[in-house]
Amino acid sequence: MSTPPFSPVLVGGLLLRAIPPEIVQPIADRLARRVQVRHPGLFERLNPLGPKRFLVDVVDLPWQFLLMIADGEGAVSVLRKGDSAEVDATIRAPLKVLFGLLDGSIDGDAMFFTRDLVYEGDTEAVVALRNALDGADIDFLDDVAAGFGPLADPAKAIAQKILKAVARVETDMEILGESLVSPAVRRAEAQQRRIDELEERCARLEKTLRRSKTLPT
Amino acid sequence: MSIDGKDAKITLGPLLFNWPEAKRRDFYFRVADEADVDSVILGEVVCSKRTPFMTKLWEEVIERMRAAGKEPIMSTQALILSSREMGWMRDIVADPGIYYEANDIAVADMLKGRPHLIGPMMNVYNEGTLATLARGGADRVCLPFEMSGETTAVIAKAGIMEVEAFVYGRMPLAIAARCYHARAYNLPKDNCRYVCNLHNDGMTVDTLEGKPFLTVNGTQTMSYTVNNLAAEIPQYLEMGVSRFRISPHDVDIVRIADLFRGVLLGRVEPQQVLDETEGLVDGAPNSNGFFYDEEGLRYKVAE
Amino acid sequence: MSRVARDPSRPVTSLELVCPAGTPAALRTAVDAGAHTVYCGFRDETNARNFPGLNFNREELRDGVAYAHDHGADVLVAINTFPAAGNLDPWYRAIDDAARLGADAVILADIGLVEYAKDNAPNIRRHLSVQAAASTPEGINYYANNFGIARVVLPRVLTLPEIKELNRHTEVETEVFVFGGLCVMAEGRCSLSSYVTGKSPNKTGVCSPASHVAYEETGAGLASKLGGFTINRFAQGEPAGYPTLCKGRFAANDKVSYLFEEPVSLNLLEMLPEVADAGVTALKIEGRQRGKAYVEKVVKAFRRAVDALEKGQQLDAAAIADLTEGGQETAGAYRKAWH
Repeated sequence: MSTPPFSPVLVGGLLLRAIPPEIVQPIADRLARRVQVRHPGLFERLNPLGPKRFLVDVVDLPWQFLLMIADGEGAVSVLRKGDSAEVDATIRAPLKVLFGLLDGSIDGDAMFFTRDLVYEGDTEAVVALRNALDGADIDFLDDVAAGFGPLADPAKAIAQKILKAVARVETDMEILGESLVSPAVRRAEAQQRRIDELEERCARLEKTLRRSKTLPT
Repeated sequence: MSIDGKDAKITLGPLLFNWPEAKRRDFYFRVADEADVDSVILGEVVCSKRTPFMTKLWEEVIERMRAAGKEPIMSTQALILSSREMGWMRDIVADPGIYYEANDIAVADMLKGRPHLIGPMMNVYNEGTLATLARGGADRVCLPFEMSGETTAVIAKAGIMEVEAFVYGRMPLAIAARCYHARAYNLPKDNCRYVCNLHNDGMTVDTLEGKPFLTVNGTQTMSYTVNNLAAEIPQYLEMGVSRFRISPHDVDIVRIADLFRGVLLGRVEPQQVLDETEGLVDGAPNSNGFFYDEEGLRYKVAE
Repeated sequence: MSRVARDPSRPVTSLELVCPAGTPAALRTAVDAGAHTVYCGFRDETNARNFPGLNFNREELRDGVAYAHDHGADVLVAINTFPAAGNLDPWYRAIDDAARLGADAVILADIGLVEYAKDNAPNIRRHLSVQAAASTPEGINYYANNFGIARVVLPRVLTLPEIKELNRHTEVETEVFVFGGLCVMAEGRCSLSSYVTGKSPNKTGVCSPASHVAYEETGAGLASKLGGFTINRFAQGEPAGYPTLCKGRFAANDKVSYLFEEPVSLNLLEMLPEVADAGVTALKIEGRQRGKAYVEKVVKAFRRAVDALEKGQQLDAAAIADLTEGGQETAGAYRKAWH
């Protein structure tokens, strides 16, 4: 399980809980169409996969997104946290990581190595989606701002300012968060070492057991 | 052009494991005297550290094989890492009276102009590569372990050189500069204390669930399963494969050779070979998946 | 002749930085970040990074070559898998098209293909892929004498002193891996993935295919499976690695361990002076399957280091540790202690 990071998005997300998915849905639709028009190559790269459904679980938001890809087209459906859906793969990560994957500003493998990104199900589909997104040169702010027509540039500037402010708050919250959890982390690490020892002993015992079974009778 | 089983030849492959010298000598002397094989491949393929002790033994065994009417073949290292090792390879292939197996392009090039065997560690996947190697003098090839029956057929039909198939034994899957036997015993490679001689058929590697999975043999990683293509021999003969390789294990290799000869001559049912050999090596199951272009560890029952 | 080799403004002593591009976007990123050379592959089984959603179609390669050349960089096309008998056409076409679309070199592994390229596309430089596992001067010189290869990518089995010695005995340029994922087995001679998945890296260009990989969250953490076999388990918060067999955790000699290799990445950034001293021509960064963010960060760091080295300045060991597999790095086979 990927736990939500202690971040401004999490706090914001708690406030957003009151907003039902139906309100968010039209925004998601518009964005999906815009990506489609501006980055046709994205779906061309995904075509060999055939139709696929991904559940994107933004761990620090109260919603999940069902991404459906078929015949060179994509659609997004907004779901409430906990709603179940028939999918090929599930991707779980904090909003910041997912944004970074969308615009290629962070490396998917690196996020996976550090476990900030978790996926389950059809691994091939997830890898293809990640590679295709990275190859698409999506500038999310740009795509969103484009929807503001003649006001695109001022809108983008405002969005950038907001993101900067969020980043500042984020650093502060990380420091606060670390001081809150560090005693628990130390305890957990000690427990982990103990578990590792036990695991090794179990493996040894299992092996001895198997050997004694395969001996000629 | 299909081959009559009576004309097919059996080759005993190189011993891949590090057996003590006395055991090795007994093994080869028994093979010379009793085993129904046409050719016997000698020499060290896996690790140069095992080589220095064996030069005299090989001389003795070569004589013995010749006296028994068997063709001795000297093999060479699969991975050559230093000029010192390359020097040894040059010394080994110096005898013009011996037929050699090359497992690296550098050795094949040393044998240029002389007939030689291209070993299964070399990447021969197609007729183009084989034709190039043939111009260097190669006249026999044992195809890579992961070669499918379908591709083998195309290569055999091209008729470029004699084709050999690896039909019995654990399959070498990888070779490295690092020694995993030493690593498993917390020893540096330079001071490995020859721990690879603790396992006559290699050291079993289990998954975290405790399922036996792979076999480590020094710097080589092998299948846990034992490749057994007895049931596919009729297809091989049909496609024109004329030589069949059995890889040495710590089992009754004379009996194994008899069983495969029986299949070639149509006297033994392949199923009997499979039943009799299943589990002989460390309890490991038979496999034939690569022949069908599937997972190498699987056994697929032919239709 | 490659453009880089012709460029008189570059000193003879400088090291060429060869950078990965899995997509056109990554190619532009690499060039912008300071790559002297970019390598890529076609979107099929002809190259050893045949991953879903990755690689170039013909048009993308043509545009990529144009972009690189406009910015003074070279493009190499990896055609480094081994075609199975009876189906050579896709590989022949890949070589023909790479030459036609203006690439500066093809990177080949199969002996038959090297010969095909020499006979049918003589004007494009031929590099020998790491997949050919040519680890000795004798092996390399075979390819040089018979097929005129200009460069060899060395297998990751040699120590730096061994590489230095090798360079004394061959005229062929050598290229070595300096960063990224690390094969622990001799490259191009490994059927481990094939054994478990039925898909041969040598033939289909993909090791541990994603289609055969599954991650399962269990109470104890994350289990990674390949072809149904558990090859590793990561506790909560423990860094994960690629789901390749050689980076898995296994039990042998009554002990659970990373028997073959820990989930680590190669990083020779701090060893570059020694690498240069070993006489190599080019430095290769692994990672066509990685994102633009990785490409940008690693290429910039290495370009800074190469430039500093050229000017005789101290190297600035930039922080690229977070891009390494399992958060750990190694000097791999280049140091004797690894063996």
